[in-house]
Amino acid sequence: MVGSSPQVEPNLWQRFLRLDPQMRWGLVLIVLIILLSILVPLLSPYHAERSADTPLLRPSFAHPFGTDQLGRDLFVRAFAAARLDLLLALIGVSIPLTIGTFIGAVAGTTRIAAVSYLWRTVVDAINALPFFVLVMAIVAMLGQGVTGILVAIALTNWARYARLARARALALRDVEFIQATRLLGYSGARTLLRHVVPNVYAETLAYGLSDFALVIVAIAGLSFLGVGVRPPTPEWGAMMSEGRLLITSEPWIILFPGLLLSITAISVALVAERLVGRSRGEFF
Amino acid sequence: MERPSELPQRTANEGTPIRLGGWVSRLAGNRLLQRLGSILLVTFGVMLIAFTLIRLIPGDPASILLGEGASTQDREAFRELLGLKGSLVQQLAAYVGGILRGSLGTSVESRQPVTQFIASRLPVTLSLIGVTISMALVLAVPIGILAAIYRRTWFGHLFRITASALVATPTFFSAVVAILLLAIHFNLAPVAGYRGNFPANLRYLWLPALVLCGVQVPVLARVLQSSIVDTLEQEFVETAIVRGLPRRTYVWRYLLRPSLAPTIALLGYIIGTLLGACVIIELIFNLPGIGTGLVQAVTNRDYPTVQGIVFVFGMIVVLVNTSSDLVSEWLDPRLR
Amino acid sequence: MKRSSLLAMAMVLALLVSSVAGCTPTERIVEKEVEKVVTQQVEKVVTKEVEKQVVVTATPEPALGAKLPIAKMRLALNGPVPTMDTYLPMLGPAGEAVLLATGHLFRFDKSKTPLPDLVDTYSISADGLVWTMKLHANLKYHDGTPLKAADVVYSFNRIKDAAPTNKTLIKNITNVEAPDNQTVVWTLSQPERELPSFFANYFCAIHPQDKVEADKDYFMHPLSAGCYYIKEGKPGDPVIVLAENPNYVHGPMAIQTIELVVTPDMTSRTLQLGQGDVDFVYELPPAVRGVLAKGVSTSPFNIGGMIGLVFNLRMGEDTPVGNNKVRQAISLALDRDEISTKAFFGVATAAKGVCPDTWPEFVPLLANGGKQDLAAAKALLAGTPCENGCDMTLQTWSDRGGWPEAATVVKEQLAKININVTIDSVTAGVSMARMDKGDFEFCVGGMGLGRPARIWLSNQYVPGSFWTDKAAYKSAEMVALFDQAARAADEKQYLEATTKIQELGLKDMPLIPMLNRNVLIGTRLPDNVFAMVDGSDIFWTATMSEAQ
Repeated sequence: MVGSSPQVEPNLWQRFLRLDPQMRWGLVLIVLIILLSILVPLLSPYHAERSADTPLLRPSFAHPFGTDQLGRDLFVRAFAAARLDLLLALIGVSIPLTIGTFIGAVAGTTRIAAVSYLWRTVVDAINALPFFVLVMAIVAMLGQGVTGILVAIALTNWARYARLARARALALRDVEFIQATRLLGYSGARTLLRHVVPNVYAETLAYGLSDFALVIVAIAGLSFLGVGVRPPTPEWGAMMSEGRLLITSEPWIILFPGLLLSITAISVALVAERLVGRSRGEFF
Repeated sequence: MERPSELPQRTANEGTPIRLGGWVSRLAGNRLLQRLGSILLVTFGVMLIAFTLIRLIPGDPASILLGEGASTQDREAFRELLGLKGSLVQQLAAYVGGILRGSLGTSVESRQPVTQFIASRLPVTLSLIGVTISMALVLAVPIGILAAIYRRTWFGHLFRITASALVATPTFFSAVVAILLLAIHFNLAPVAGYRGNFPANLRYLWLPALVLCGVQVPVLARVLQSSIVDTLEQEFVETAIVRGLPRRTYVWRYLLRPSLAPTIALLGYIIGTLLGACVIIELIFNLPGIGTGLVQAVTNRDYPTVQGIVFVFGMIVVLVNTSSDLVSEWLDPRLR
Repeated sequence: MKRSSLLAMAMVLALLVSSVAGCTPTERIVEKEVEKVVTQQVEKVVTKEVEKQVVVTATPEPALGAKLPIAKMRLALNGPVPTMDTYLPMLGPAGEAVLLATGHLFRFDKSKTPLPDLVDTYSISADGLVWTMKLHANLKYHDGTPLKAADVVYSFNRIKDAAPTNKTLIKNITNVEAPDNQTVVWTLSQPERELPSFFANYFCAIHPQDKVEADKDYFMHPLSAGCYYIKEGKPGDPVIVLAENPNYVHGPMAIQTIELVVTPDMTSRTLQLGQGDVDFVYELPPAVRGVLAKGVSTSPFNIGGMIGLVFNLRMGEDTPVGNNKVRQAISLALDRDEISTKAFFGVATAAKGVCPDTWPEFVPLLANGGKQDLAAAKALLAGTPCENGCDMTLQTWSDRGGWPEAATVVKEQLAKININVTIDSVTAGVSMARMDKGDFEFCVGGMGLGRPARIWLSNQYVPGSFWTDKAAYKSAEMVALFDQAARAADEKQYLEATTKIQELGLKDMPLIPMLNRNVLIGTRLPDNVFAMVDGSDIFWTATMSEAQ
């Protein structure tokens, strides 16, 4: 290291400028939506769940997105919905990620062949079930609202993370430092928690980012079909299903939440694609 | 990366010890049989999950179907008729027995065999998938070729961004926009509904198929593009072009034929995702397919129909996945 | 990576904080200012509503022309038609199809009065225990098969014990026989003046015994002695085409072909009507309010009764829900007009009595005319478990349009008398299961059976019926009153009995009537040709002579 020129760590802005345009635009949009979702409900004179004016007004300066059939201002409502959807998607990704990574790591480090076989069957069976039916059933059992869809998404998604984690754990199983821990007499659990899981996490985390876009679309889609968050809670899918009835005469009610949802999903997907280096198919 | 030793099927080829008797081990080693066994096991698992799940949902088919006009006595009588008395294990045994005899049970709502119900609904979904795949191929092949040839120009760049954007757009939003624009505004397609006979059903299927293509075409086109680019960048192709190859041969040998393998391999994946997306599209466009049939059956707690549809659906998904796995392995021996 | 990860964490934290900040519990709307704003908005909405309605329901030009006969109409059904066999349970759309495409002894006219259809004349014995019905001569099914009185006996016996059949009107029939090919004689153990209503309903569709027993798929293509028969398609298909029955005794019909288009999704139905893909739709979303294409008229229509609140009387007098005075107070605290405007855009109108105001049995019995009286409500709460405020859970069916919104408005209104309501929105199936087990406090419910009023009322007040058992309401006095109504010798005695039933019902209050259960229907046809039977989801189609 002696004699090399001092390296200055580039600051955030410089690093940002070095990214390729796709990633830059994606990040800008994401940050914009997050900021608006925080600021608009705080600063707007209107409340997201109470009527503010005459129903069904066209978009105007006072109401940039117009008003819906109960007179609520759609601008503040759409961004309050952004808040809810982003949070739900965050939870909807973290839970399967945590569970899946753990189970996958366990499945990968075990040496019992039967577990592997059982694993394959269970994962295939869950993937073969129509997602919508599973959600309907779980929501019907647990009641409307947020819990049902989060549980359903967790139940169907954990397998993807688990598969990744397992593959990585399998690779790690015979790597030297893991073998070393065995020689040292560490218990299986300690090896698992302290050494395998942290190494496996990095890959599943990256996958989680690309999953985020799918999960947010899935949550909105389920609410759109009536099986998730229900009106009057502001949520993009629920707002779209309310607006669908009036699509011929007042299309802005369905278009604005839909546009925001699409922009969010697209920008997250664009960023994730660059980070993860591959693309995913549609989920909803 | 060293290959993990895991399941019996691999050990038979590698010689690591799994002790089974002679013919049993040969049988267990036969990959086709293992695949078959796996399919059956998974499908059975799916059916078991559906069986339990639908019964866990609160709600009684008798109440839902008989509605307000029926007295409490009538509902009890109907429940007897449906055979919903008896323990779960008994019901499961009876159901499995029925499957082995080729019957998927009788629908609670129509008292017709479930197989008949599925037979009337499945063709609609399959037609939708068929039209979607045809449309997707027709659109994706030229786009993929163009994107490969012009990949370094603005067109290639636009293609990349648009493809990523389209894939991420929620299908139900594109469906709504498509209905608003093409069906309502320009009146090019009916808003909802379906007629059974070919070719009349095309009129009702083309718009939902187009919406589904919004996701499938970018995926296909990207795969085509990358496989064509791979081929084009190889030296023997450049040599052939320099030597003056006729255009038609050029298009076929170096553009289309190499794309065949990955496209076919991708079809399995596409059909799988289409089956999943079908439910929401059928609901929005009011197509009487297997998706809406399933939703209707769950709403009415029509247990045999739900079990039957999930069973058939699961079997299709598993078969599609397995065959696409097999085709991929056959085409690319490195995957074996 | 450290700084950017810090930034990311800060963003997530900000998101969490702001969402928590946004989750303020719904404040009790007590301030007068807010009330004023709300009233202004209600007025604005109502005025807008009235304007639009005035514009649209002013004589629509029938888009299908007034030229009779009309060659074809397309009718949107709200669900599939899985079977034509009335032995099996039928949801609304299947029953509607059965009434159009099979023969019945009587047929409802637009005001739900049963008129003789296959029956020519009928007479009742002096004691009311023997009904003699004479069928028309030379009756035939649509394929020419002659219809005999024995077919009536067979068809009745086939369905009389079936689970889906509503037996209230026929439970006293002890015998039915066909002394000759054209006469059917019914013997009852007790008089039943509403008997023709049973026969005008879909249950007793007339089919020939030999054909039914010979063909196990008979009901996929049943014979019809009614206005229409199934020409193309079969039960389960998305489109079923009905053609006019050439052998219908009162034919020809004003509409020659009816295409049944199955569209379970309400939004799609609305769009189809607007785009001209169908000609008649019932149960449009109230938000549509006449904003459809030219030539389409929309109007509110009572579809079987009322929307109300059902209480779980199992809970006992010492609980808020089980206490009669609390329920009376709730009824007084409801501003039914506000619920109507906010949740149903004024389509479902405020209730003034137990049953819809268009029914002959209607009496305006609700305290204070059904209008809100907060002072009286609060006064009633003295000495009850709710004297100083209490908590209640309101269940509502999430899959019925407007009901969850109505629940929200009810919650806001009850907050004014210090009743804190939690809303539990679940699908109908789940809710019914819970109510059967008594696992609810009170619930938004729809009493939609329609007339005859005695049957409709008995469904709410007589043990063994749907709503009565859900509420677990038992009253010997009420049962006696129903018996009295059944035995009424003339109209006057009947109306006296039904009035007493309604008075007792409001006194015991197992349920509170809230709104008339109106939905929007949209049509391109003049209503002297095709309409809905008042208070039901049954369609009425005119014969050529009726239409002119």
